[in-house]
Amino acid sequence: MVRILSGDRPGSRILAVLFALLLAVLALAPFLFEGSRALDTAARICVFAVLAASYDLILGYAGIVSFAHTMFFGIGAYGVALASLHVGRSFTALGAGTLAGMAVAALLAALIGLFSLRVRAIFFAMITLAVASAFAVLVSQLPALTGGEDGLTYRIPRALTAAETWGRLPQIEISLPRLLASRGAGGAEVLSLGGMRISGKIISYYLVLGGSLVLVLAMLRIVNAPFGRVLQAIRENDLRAEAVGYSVVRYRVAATIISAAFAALAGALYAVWLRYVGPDTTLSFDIMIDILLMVVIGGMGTIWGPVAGAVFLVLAQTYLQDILAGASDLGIPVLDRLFDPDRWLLWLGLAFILCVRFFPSGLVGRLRHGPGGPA
Amino acid sequence: MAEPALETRSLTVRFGGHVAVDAVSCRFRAGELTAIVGPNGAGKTTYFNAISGRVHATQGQILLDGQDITRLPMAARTRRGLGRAFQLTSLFPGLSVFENVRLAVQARQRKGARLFALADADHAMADAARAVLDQVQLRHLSGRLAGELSHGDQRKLEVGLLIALEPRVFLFDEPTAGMSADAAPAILRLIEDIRRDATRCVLLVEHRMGVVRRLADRIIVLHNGALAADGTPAEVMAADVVRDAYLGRSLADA
Repeated sequence: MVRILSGDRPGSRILAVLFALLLAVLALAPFLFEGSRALDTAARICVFAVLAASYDLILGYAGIVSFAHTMFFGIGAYGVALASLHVGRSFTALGAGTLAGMAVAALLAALIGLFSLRVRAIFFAMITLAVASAFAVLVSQLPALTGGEDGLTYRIPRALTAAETWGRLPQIEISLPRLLASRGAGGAEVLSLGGMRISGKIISYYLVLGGSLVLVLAMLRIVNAPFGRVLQAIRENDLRAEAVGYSVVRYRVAATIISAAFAALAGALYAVWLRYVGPDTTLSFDIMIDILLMVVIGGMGTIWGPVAGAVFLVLAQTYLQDILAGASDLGIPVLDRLFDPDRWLLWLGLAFILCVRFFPSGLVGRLRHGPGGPA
Repeated sequence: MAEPALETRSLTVRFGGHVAVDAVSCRFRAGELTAIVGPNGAGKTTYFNAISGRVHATQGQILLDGQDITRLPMAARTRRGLGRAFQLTSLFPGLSVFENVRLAVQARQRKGARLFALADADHAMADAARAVLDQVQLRHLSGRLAGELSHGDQRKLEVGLLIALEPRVFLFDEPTAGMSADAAPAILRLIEDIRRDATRCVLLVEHRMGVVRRLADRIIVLHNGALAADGTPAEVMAADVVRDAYLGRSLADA
């Protein structure tokens, strides 16, 4: 077990329990919750966990600030979309699109890195911002290729769609004791479980979950490999890292490339899940800010932290409005206005400020080291 | 005579109109400890910076074991056997003492590019790191963060990083600067250990003449960036010009 995690445990007992619980809920999500919204949320948690963790590789481990991360995410997603459109509806298209997206992302990251990682950190951040903005404009101005602002819808193999039936769960009937049954609605004495249809959509979800799990574990491995240790060394003191014999620029470029490739893979999973790509869902600056928040709130330089941050943020974005809607119906004059569902961003912002104020090392950092951050 | 471990040929470093290092030609042999002395601003640290690759030589050449390294970046020079300790201690403050040394061992063993191996499972690296920690007497602090150590222990750790790199040429820039009187001897003992190995060449920038006399086989004096004197400690200290102009009264009193 510890080997799978590359010897990098979550860091505290509470975290270990929470992550085990998260994995269990995600693994059983199609059967625990009804409706497509819950499953969609679970899939987005998986994808954004990978995306945030891949950003942590450069931000938290290598200490590089980049604003081009959504660009790589988008490239992965558009890779799958374009391949599915032009190669045709097949698993080959998914595979080829994923690989092509990953290759383009890696190449672009290498170019940006080689041209600009020699300069000071602030200039690198500015350059990534410029490139990412230019890329987003380019995508929206080339409707023939990218569908422009409308994006692209495409078809993925039928085996991964809701139309396909893979089978049914076996029906389990449990006879309830009379006492318990008499309290139940309708007084049924037999509880019926299972029998649910396993659609292609559920298989598609497991593809996303499985892929995300493998990718996160791979990143956990990388940060605990000699390479990952060098990144931390560069973050701590690049002069010393260079004077110990590590070519800092090369390692920074390599980290940027690897991080971009993982982001592209996350984008590919997202494209398979959504069957749609557009500038707003994959390239927008809002997503860049979301990723940044996930990493900071979860805890930089831990991989576990960004995963936790992704869970937190996706859940908040999906359900905070519902919760507020419930709270605003209490009939208390001022509170009802404050808890208006339209004000959900206000509450989310407040939660962020409190998070950063009280957990400067992130949720995971806080649970690992106690109130004072890393001791 | 054997080929020098390190040689500078008319090494010059110019910053705009200011000549920080002025055509210094010098050979340093293995098994020899050379102290570099001179008043503040004489160019000692810039000379070190040029040798280690932190600043670029404007003119001249630097040869390591006869190979021209003048145009190589710092990391490449380190990989070829040049280890440097800085005037202001330079460590990885947020990482543990053990991790600091292991990173140097890892660089020495050329394992940094391994992407999927587990660093913690590499016993060869761990053993080498522990041996170095024993040598610099920091084993009991392995788990502490480097940034939390006392100034003296941080200096020891930096020497430990150098030892882990197994260089042939060691550059120490005022290793006892700012250290308390009781902490300095430990560092000096480590440097003596290092120079005892006849394959190693040690260069030392130092202000304290007591330290210089105790350690150095040879002293070179820099003044206004140029080489002003070169010889055994007895010769250099006997030279009137050196004593009066650059070493001040401390030498005459001693």
